[in-house]
Amino acid sequence: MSIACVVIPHFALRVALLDRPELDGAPLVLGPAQGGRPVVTDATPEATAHGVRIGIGLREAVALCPEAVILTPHPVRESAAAERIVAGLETLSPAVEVDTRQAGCYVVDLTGLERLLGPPRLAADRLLTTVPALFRPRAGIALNKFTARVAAYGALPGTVVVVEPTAIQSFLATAPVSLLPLAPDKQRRLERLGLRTLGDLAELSPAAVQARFGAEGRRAWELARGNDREPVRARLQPETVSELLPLPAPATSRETLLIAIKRLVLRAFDRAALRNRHVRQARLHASLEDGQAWEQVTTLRDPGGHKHLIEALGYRVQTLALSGPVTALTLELSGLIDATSRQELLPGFHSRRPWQLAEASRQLEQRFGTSGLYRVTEVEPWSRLPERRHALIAYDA
Amino acid sequence: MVAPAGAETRADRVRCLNLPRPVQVTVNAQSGMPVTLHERNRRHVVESIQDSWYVDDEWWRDPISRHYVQVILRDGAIRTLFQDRIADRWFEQTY
Repeated sequence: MSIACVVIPHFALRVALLDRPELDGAPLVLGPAQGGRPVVTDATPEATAHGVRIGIGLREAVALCPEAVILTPHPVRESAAAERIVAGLETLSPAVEVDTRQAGCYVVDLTGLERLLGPPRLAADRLLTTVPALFRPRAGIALNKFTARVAAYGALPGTVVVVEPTAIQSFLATAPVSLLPLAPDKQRRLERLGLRTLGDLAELSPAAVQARFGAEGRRAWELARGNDREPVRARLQPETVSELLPLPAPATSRETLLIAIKRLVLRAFDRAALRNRHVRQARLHASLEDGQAWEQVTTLRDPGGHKHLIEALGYRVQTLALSGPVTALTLELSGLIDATSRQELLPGFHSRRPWQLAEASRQLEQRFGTSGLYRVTEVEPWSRLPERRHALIAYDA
Repeated sequence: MVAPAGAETRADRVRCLNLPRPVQVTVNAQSGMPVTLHERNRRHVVESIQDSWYVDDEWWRDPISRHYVQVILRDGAIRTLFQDRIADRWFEQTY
């Protein structure tokens, strides 16, 4: 028993509570990100008890639960909070995996740490103490990742559920299929077939499940039977450079933002870590005067230096629509590589520009009647007959 | 390059991908599962059956009924075969 899972249900809402802890226990509804459709994206159990559901309009949510408090997502604070939580867990175990499919879900490998952290239940208690109580974290411990995750979601806030190795199958049998890592359409199909618990799925024959749901379904069947050999993958520690620039006065014009971005980039490239180096990715955070935030990740097609980056970020700012004045900008650069390490392709192996390819196609067609160039296109990607899924069509069709 | 919206794609310029390839298979008379695969004058012995499933579709027009079998050959290769249950012929096709 060596894997622990710490989960924080309704993570975005819990992060929003950090600013307004007095709202803890009130019916909370999470609205859309900036510019999104006004629908409910998450709701606490206190709100769902009144009939509020994910996906309904905010007006309907307020009509169903007039005392509901509507909060807006804050991606900058969410990522900062997640970072603090992971850093806290990493003080106890070097292998902490962040679940990218579910915010607020962390898997911790406790293998070999018994003498340091004590028996599993005590170790999980210590993991929970690294997370602020306002997040209402809960933990599960089991032999594998999936069972630990199911156990954690079944635990009460601040408690630990330990699943003994001999009891894995019976424990999983009553858990809902919604805990399986399946795409939403497959989840719905399972429910339409009357498969509501992992036990229902585990009772089917693996061939039947695979025939209907493909490889993903087969994996879900294995998980439902408690077979999960996936190791805990500790997150990579990417080398990053961050720069913060508080603006002397809240900025609204694009010109001011461009000047600020230029200063940020030049300041970052002045750092020793970026001397003679290029970057692949830039994450720009903007803190707005009304307390909200905006964030955008820009990935450069080719790694570039400061000029290239200023130009790329400048293009993004041109099309930007912010809801309020900006009070501070943060730039985080990642994917750092040596400026001199770029590998050029051999002559003749350069990828052709699309217009060059189109021109070549036209020339071939002129000469031979057909260009002989095709591209792969999706026809019925959902089809159970493999030959119906994709086809080659003439490049110029 | 994206074709202009509304441009017609001629059927004679479309080619199917991953079409089933006819193969010769010897089956176990009792279980109906393949035991050898004959291909280009070579005989491959099926070491084990990894998985099998049925695909029945389009019963409302030209019915399709296939029994797919994923086999592991003695040389370690994994192949996916299917029996067309209507024509009673075997094919190979990546699923």
